Amino acid sequence: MSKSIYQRQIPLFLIAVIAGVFIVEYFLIPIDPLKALKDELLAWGVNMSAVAIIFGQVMLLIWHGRVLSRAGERKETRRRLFESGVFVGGFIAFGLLALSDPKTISGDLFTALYLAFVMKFSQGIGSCGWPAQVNAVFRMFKVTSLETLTIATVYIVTWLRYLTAFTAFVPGIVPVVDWIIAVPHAAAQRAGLIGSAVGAIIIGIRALVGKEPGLMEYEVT
Amino acid sequence: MVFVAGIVSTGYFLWRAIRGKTIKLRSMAMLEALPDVVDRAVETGLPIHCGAGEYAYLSGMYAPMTIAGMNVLRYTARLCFRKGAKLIADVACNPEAFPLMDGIVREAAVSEGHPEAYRRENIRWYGPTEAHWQIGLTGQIASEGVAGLVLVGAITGMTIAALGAVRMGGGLILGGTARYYHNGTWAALADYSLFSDDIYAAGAIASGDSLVMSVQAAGDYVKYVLMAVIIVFAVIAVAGVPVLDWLKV
Repeated sequence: MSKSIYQRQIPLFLIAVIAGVFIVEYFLIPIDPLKALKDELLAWGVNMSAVAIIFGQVMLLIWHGRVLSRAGERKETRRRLFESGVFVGGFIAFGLLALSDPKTISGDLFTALYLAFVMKFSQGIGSCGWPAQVNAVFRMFKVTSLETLTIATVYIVTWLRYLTAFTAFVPGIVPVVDWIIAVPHAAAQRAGLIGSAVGAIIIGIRALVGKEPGLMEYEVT
Repeated sequence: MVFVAGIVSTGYFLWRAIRGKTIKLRSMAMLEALPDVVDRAVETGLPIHCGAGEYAYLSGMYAPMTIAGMNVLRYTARLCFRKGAKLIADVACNPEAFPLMDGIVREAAVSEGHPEAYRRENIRWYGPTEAHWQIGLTGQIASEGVAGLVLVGAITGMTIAALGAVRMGGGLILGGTARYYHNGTWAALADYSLFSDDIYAAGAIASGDSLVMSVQAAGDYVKYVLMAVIIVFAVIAVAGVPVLDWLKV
């Protein structure tokens, strides 16, 4: 049997039938048997999504384990072991906590610990990111063409316009920058959005009719 | 109205392409530069990082960007496997595109006759938030070096630190996004950037499919009409005609 039969055609057929039931029930025949069928299909959808999520998480763990097992000769083995230890420790601790609390991840204790540990680490990572971003911008913001000169000029005058101390001494910059924002910037923004919207419509239609290789043309080997 | 015009135009160009009347898109500097970046990776022995955006949703408004990014990923992966460069596929914050990216890279390795070049550990997911993605990618670049970053899809301003790491590591940056507010980041910091719906055209060209390229051209005619409408409306609005009142629902 060709892979396209069971990897593409059968799933698409099932989706088409289920979508057809939903459309008929919603728009045409809102009778109880169809509503019951729709509810049952939705319940199956929820269950299958849950299984897919668990399957995905297990696969991530297995794949990461394989990466670690192959990393014996690499210099980053120690770092990977540390990262994996943190992950496994957190996984077990929060898993036990979630199982012991009837409210699982919405429980007060879980929420407090999550905010105290995980969110603090996340904020720490974020706070490292912002100085790095500023550093990167100023290292690379070089004027090499008319376009970059325009970008740099607009960036600098806009930045100055929102410096209260600067506008107190040079009030004339305010209407200039406001005009830039209201006219050329708005025009460029609308043009960009129109272009993106039209392009998105085309790709969407191509995907719907099965002519989009980015999603469907090739089979996973 | 734009939606209906897009459907009609796309349908017409799809019908034309199926009948064999194809359209060739012009070349794009970003895609032309890709083989050079891959050559650079082969010469230096450093990896190329490639991804389909920081967010790679397969539904909603980011889905078309993801699809374009997947086409570019496949094109880049094929070039890498053909020339013997190391490819690292950076999975977006949301891991739902992980299996698709894994499949695309594996398929590219097989189709280029180098199935052994596919390594699962080179498909990397850094975590569920932008901060995870940024710090994870930056850390990988710092520890392993980089020849180039190819990133096309839904991208945010958080990429700046990773772009900085690529630059400091001597790598080239190629890519872009259709997200308006983040185009500026790539215009300023990338060596070869794509603006707005350039990424859709790049995806179509990277697919190598003449039908896909022909259908992508359908959007140009819709945009010509929109530009004409905007100019006409602007002129008659300046002349005092209450155009905005006409458009009110």
